[in-house]
Amino acid sequence: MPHRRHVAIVDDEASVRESLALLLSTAQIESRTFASAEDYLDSVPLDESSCVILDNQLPGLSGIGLLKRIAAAADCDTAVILISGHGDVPTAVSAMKCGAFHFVEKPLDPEALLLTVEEALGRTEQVRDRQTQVQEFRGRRALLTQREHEVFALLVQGLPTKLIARQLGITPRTTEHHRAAVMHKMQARTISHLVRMALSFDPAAGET
Amino acid sequence: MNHREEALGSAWTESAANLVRRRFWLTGIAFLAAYLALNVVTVRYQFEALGITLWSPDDGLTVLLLIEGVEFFPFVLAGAVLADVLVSHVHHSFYVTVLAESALSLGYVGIAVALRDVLKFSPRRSDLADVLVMLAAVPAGAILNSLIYCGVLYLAGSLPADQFISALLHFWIGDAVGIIAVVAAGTAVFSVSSKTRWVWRKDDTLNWSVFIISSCLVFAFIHGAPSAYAYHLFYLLFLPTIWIGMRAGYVGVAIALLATQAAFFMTASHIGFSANDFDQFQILMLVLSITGLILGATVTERERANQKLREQQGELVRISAHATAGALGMLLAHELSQPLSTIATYAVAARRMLQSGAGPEPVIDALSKAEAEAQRTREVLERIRDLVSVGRLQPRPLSLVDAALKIRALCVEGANARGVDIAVESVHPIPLVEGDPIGIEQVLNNIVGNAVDAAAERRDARGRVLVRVIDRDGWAIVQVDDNGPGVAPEMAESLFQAYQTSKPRGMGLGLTLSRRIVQQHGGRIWWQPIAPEGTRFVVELNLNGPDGDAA
Repeated sequence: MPHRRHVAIVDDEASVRESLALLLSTAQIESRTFASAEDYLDSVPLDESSCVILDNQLPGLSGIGLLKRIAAAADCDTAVILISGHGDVPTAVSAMKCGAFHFVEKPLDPEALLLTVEEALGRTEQVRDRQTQVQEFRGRRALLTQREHEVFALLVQGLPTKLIARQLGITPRTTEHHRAAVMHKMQARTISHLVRMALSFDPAAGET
Repeated sequence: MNHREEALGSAWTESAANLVRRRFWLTGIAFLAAYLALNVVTVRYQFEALGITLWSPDDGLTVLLLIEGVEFFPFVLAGAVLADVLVSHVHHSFYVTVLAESALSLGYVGIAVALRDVLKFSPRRSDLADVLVMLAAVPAGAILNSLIYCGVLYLAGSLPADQFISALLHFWIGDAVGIIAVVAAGTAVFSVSSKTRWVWRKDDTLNWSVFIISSCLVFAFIHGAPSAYAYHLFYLLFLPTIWIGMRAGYVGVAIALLATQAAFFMTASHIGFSANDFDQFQILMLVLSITGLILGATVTERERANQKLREQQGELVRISAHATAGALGMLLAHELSQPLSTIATYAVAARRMLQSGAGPEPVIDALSKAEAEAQRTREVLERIRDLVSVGRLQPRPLSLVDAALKIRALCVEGANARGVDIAVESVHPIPLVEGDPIGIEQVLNNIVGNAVDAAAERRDARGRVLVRVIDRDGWAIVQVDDNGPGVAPEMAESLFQAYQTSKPRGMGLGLTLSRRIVQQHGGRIWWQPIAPEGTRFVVELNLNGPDGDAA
């Protein structure tokens, strides 16, 4: 599904914020600008997934400081692009250790930065898509009855209907019935489709 | 592989051991030869054929050798016995000779061990502390040795009781004076031979000429005067000794004292003083030696401290120049990266807008913002230039000759160590110029430093940098000539451009800054190759001040 692409820019220099926002707008990327790390923390919830262009040299909380806060937030996959002075190796190292998406040196190469932002947004998109799919998968599975759930678990392990019936101590006919219900509720076209879904969204399911 | 290494290892050990053994024998035999030769000379003055010489530089050699290693003891003993038997023809029996010389040689071992191991004296240093230790320990040790030797002779019946005190005194003073002179001279020789490059300066010629001439005069007086006056004339020897101590330091005075002692010994033996008279001279000689050596060591120590100070000052100048350049680079990078990023970003945004067919309005907007940012960059640059420029010149009348001499003093030690000599020449008094002393010194330091670097590339220890200060047609001119390999053709065009350097550790800012400083003084700086080899840098400053008209 099409998603509005969004980037946050945190830099204390107004000219840098403005010029970056203008540059991003030429690539149909919307941006919100913040003059300090504190401003960003005040208005953006930490668990909101997004892409942030972050200057390391900020008044108050530094870029690395904000990066650490963002990375520490649970369930967050915000991609942070950290900007720092030329040749600042220690900052580059700690940025990558703290899980920054990328590290960019000043003076900026605008085209390269744009590519990096696109890449970061692409990754966020993927993550977000996957999260949506996992949510949907879990929602469908919640619809299964207790017995259907047992049948689903054995189906995913690759057992044929007769074996499932014997293992659960029910007739093959009843088993067929449950199986049809599982396929319907999970919106699986074939057994292999069902197995793929289970493996990619709930790896634990295939092993028990 | 292992076997081979072992074989190589043992071969090495063997050859090293051979070397050590050879050195041991060579040193020992050389000692024996020198010892006997000295005895042949000094035996002319001995006390009652008891093997007591009135001047004993030979025992100085003994102490010096034993400080090098106690294992030379057999040579020492052999030398002493041989000298007694072959040279002095002592009256007492061979057994008494061996007994007395054994006891005495052990006494010298005692002095050597006390000096080296207890008092931590090393003949390879000439610190004032070492000299003082030596001057205290040697006379004290000589008293003990004198007691030992005379005691053995007395007990053996070779020395009559009524001569005991007299013999004791003769032995002591001859030993103390001789040992002090030889150990001090040994220290001097070690310190000269340990220098990588011994420079004989013009000063040295003058110093030693004055010393030799004045000493000769004094000896002529002593020799010519009636012997009753000779003793009073001896005091005159203090003059050349103090002169050479002041001018040439410890090394000079140590060598001078040994020469003086030898010359005095010759003079005295020629005149034919009695042993008792000679002793009185020797006591004066002891005082002269102590005075001279303490003076020399003090002068040397002060000279060393001065040299260290100069080296540190020179280092400081270099460091600060480097630090300034480094800080300037950091400042530029920091101040310019922000506006540069912004300009580039607006430019790319504007291009992308045009490419995607946007109207002129947003593009014009982006470009004018880039323009404004470029203007801001210009202001930043202007500000940095004000900050680092030598704009706050504080001109005052200054002598280019003095400035050149000061730079020479800062650079000459380091240059000498690299085989380059620096000379400053000025034909006649040069009028003062109006200039900022720090700025001008920075320029000269830079140019002279470059010249030394160039001359040092010869690697034949014949590098030469000549700084000539002249005035001509209303200009004060400093010419710095070197006899290095000259400016590489590919560097010649861009010599004064920033960040051009042929040096592995250079920033390439020196000549750029120098030219800027000279231009701010209303002067010129240029260079030309000189035949047959080398480069000349010329700095010209207007004698009528920065804004003056030169003829």
